[in-house]
Amino acid sequence: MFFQQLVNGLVSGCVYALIALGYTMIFGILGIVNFAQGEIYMFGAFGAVTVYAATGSLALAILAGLGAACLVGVLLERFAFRPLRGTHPLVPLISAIGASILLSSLARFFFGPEDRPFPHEFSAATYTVFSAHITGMQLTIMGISAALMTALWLFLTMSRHGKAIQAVAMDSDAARLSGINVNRAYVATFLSGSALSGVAGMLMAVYYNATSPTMGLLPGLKAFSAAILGGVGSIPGAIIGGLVLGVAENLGAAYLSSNFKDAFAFIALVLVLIIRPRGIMGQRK
Amino acid sequence: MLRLSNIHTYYGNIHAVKGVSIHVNPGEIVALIGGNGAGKSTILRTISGILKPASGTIHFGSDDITSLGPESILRTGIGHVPEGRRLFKGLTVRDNLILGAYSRRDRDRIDDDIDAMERLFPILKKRKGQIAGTLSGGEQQMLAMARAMMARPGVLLLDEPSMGLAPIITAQIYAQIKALNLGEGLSMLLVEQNARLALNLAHRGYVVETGRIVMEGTTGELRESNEIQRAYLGKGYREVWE
Repeated sequence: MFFQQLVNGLVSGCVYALIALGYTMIFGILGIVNFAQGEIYMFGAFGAVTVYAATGSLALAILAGLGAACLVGVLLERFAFRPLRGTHPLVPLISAIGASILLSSLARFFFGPEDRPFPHEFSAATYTVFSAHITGMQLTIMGISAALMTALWLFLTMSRHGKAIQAVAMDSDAARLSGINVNRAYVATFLSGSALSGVAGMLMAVYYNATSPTMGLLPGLKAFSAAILGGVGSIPGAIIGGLVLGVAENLGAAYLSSNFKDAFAFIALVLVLIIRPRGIMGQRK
Repeated sequence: MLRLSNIHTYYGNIHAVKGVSIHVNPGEIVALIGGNGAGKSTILRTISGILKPASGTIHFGSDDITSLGPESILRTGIGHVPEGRRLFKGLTVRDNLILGAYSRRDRDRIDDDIDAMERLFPILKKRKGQIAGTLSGGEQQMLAMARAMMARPGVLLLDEPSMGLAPIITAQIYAQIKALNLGEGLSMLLVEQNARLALNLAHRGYVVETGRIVMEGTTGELRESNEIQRAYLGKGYREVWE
């Protein structure tokens, strides 16, 4: 049972980590918390479900999900955050909360309030490792997440544009003096963060075979906790934070009480903040 | 080649630069000296486009660069080494140099220029893979200058290169600045609180007080001025007047 719960925890942890990367990258570069990250996740799922229902093509559905998530991310940057640059940090925070409510209301308006299934049949093959049963879908989620995280890491540390994004995060005025276009760096950050959240949304839509306008709320909050848990602004921190949170809530639900599954994620957050306020990988200021 | 005409700049409500007109000729080192808060750094930040002037014009060669953003101004050939170095502290020395060349289109030449910078500042070659934030103050200043040079500027704005450095390190940095000027024929606009250093290196100078130019001349003339000797070179009234 322990290994089974560990696997289940890692699967949801991967999804939290993908969303947490969006939070942490945007915080790292702009110093703001994008509370609409969970809604980007939801729009990724809805884009994919809608196009899949209309065309029956999985490839088109994935493209649509990615496109919807990226579009929402870029529009947020342009209209919810850019006009507020240079204001008190609380102002973009309120703007983000407003954007989040607007987006989930829009989703309810266009897609209706009820759950929609993701009607795709995936292989039901399971594999047994250390007495844990792992489904093909779980392997897919972990594989895709690991590949995306590696790709993000390589982009940020190896490519010129990735380094430029890091430079803007470290010192935006110095970056401008080096000829880096900071607006482009902000858009690139929102694009990559939104793409990751969109993929997470699609994966969960398939995993639970369900999408709803409020599906982004709880994963969004948990991923936010994961980003803080790992040390906000830190990329490895967001990944570790997501995995720790996913495993903690699954083990808590299995061994203590499944009624409190959601609470365990936040208990883990509180514990880490008491013991290590800057988060697992956070830098001391 | 660089000419500011009647520039006014505000910092929020503070009128920090009040009608400054200065110029830098090709190959020349020009010093801006003056006390804390006189507006020297604000002048440099206005030239490089971080701040927008409220009125006045800035020309570089025949181009009017007054309304351009920092990225475009850098591309016209004005490099800026900001006060306090402002390195990308979490990146390696090499990455800082690569990012210095971010605006350039001739990417195949960048490696050659990194080699050239490592010849000029040999310590940077030794520290190549080190995280920039772990360098000593002098090394950070050298990296900041090398990073700005990677954009191949025609004019370099240098803001307090001696800040927080021991005299022996400062002497080394100033020797390197002089080498850049002689070797590359690079023009420079140098901001310094240490007037003695600046006047020994530069060809001409301006004295800035509360946002205005109050005196200008060749550095020889400025060094001889009683006013400068008293206020900036630390000579007592007695010594000067009697």
